[in-house]
Amino acid sequence: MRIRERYDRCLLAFVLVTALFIGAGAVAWAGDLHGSSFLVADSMVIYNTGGGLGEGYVGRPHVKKAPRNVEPFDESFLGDGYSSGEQNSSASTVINSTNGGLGEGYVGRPHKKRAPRQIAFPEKKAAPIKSTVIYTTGEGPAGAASAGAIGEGWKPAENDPSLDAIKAFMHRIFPGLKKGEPAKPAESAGQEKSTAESKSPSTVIYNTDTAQPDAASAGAVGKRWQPSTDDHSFDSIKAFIHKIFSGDEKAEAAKSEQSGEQSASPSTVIYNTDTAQPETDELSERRGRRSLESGTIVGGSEDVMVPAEDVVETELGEDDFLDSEDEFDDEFNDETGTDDQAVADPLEGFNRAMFVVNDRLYFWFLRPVASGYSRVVPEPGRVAVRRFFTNAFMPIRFANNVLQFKFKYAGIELERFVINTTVGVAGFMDPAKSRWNILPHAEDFGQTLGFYGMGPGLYINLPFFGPSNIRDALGMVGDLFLSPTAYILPNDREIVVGISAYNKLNEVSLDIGLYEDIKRDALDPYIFIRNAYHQHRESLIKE
Amino acid sequence: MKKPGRVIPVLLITLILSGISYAASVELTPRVRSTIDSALAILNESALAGESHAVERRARVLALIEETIDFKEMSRRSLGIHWRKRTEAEKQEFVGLFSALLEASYMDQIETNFDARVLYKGEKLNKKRTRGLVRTVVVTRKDTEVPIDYRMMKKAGGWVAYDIVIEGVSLVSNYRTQFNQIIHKSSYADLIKNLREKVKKSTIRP
Repeated sequence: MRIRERYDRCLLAFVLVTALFIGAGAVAWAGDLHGSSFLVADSMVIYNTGGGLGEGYVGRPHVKKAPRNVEPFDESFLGDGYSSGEQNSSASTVINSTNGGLGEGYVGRPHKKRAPRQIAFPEKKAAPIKSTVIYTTGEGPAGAASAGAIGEGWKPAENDPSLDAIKAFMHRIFPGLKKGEPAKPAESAGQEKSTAESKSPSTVIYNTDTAQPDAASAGAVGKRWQPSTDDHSFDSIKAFIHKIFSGDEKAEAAKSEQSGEQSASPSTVIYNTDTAQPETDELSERRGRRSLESGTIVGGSEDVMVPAEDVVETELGEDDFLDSEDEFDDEFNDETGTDDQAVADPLEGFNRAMFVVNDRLYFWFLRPVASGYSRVVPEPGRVAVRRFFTNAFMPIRFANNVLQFKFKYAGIELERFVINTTVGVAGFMDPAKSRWNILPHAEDFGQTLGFYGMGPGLYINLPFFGPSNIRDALGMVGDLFLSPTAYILPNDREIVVGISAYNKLNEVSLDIGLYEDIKRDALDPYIFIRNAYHQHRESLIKE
Repeated sequence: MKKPGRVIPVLLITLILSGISYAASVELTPRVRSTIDSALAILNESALAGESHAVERRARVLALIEETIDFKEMSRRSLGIHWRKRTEAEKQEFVGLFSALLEASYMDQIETNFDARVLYKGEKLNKKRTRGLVRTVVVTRKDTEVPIDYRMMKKAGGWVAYDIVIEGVSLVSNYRTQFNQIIHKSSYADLIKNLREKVKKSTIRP
């Protein structure tokens, strides 16, 4: 009886979550059908800072960001749902609470007119919302209407990039830091640029958790908050970061200031093949000489227009290249075929049996269900769901980066989380990557264990979970403790399982065809996967 | 469900994108890049779009790839210690089969990933400047980043790729493991038979 009840609750949670996301996917799809013209970001974000976020934001000190303009969300297929459309007075709303919720509160019911909804959070965690600031950029009925629904609408100056709202939020958190930092000219230039490009209205509604009237901050209800264009709040945050992660970070930041606007690190270079220009001979020659002389990395591409020297330094610090020619030679001379002996697989009999079990599970159950699901929710919607879960699981990546002393990457993860949770509408979009080229740095507890010297142990092919080994299976359990769902719903394991099942289903739906390809291309799919898993994990740990 | 890190889909992209031109430049990244550009350009060319042009499109991409990826070198390395034990005729047969297998799989994949973005993360040469490594990250439409490294060596005609490392997984090493296993457990003849069946199933080549 007990078990039966638990099973029912699991199933119920699964169905509900699935239905919710299918709804979101349908919205995304509808958005696609409508064309992108008004998808472009009169998106609305309601942002509740009640607790929590403050500890969080850590900028990325060494990288100069591209001009910030929020408005042309590439992935704004969700935008339709959240836009106020032509006549919807308040449209629908994404409410995101960071007080442990990590987007649990996501509600998307775009096609119905209704006032913004607030999701109830566990009482102990919820912080009272005492003041509200509504902040609208651009013009258009959408912004004004939705603003009016909550409070008094107002129009900011036209040259007001909407990301400033976030900056203002940062001010709230780190008010004391503002004065200490000198202004960066490049930043202003970026803002001006973003101003010029800012065309469509975008709305950010912004709840602060305390009502302390504070001239420098967002302020209280009804007060107009007008960020100035020479607002350098990100600088403050950067300075704050420097204080935390002092030492060589500072040097790096200094370097990055020198090279100014263009000094994106090579890891952030995006090479768009559509617009790529052929490299000039001169540049390539210069690189050639560099690599001749140093025998080290020559980084980046001309897209960032970085002097090669800068790139080399940054890249060397960040990335774990093959660092000796021996490694090339090893690879070259390694004709003994010993690679596979690195994988201890005494359980091969069991593992191969599980391989068959998983194979059947996939073809008979997972794939049919996932392809049915993917027929209902179009791919952009499912990608958005994946992003949402990825964003929500930030604590795992953050903690494991910290455990491995990768403070810079931990900071980047936090930065991505803040950006994507706000500008990225609760994580359904990834503007940190798509607009600012801030790439994630995933770490899990298995990698942390490897970092501290633990070997992989036996290879084990788990039913349902697939390939793993002793170390990574332990790591999986360790990461459970950092899973946001476990914190939000500590007493509702069934719901957690239901949500996880949905996440899994979504993942499978995006990877349909992958396993089929492996089976087609591999002479022995079991060996292929075992070896690939081993190599992949080892390379992640080595990073 | 089996998720060795989305290795395979990328495998394809990899192969396709791994073309390195024979042009005499000493630099690796521009070579990799120009090949990737050309391959993607062919796939995005509207004149070649659609099923009716599939044959021509594939032929052109394939030609591009074949002159930049050294399939013979990859095959030799994949066979590992067993390579030396084979006769010249056997070697040729093996290279032909294995190349066909790789080509078929990546042609299929690249066509579905024609819209991927490629980020170039740098390159490295050894001191003798005989071997090098080009690091890239492919961002797919599904918004996943797939790191792909090209291990390259300098041959008489220029730089060629002898291995492709997708998400840390070396193709040569992975296939070598499989080949070893099969040769150990049964025989080389069995491996060839196996390969032949795989190739026969592929739809790319008539």
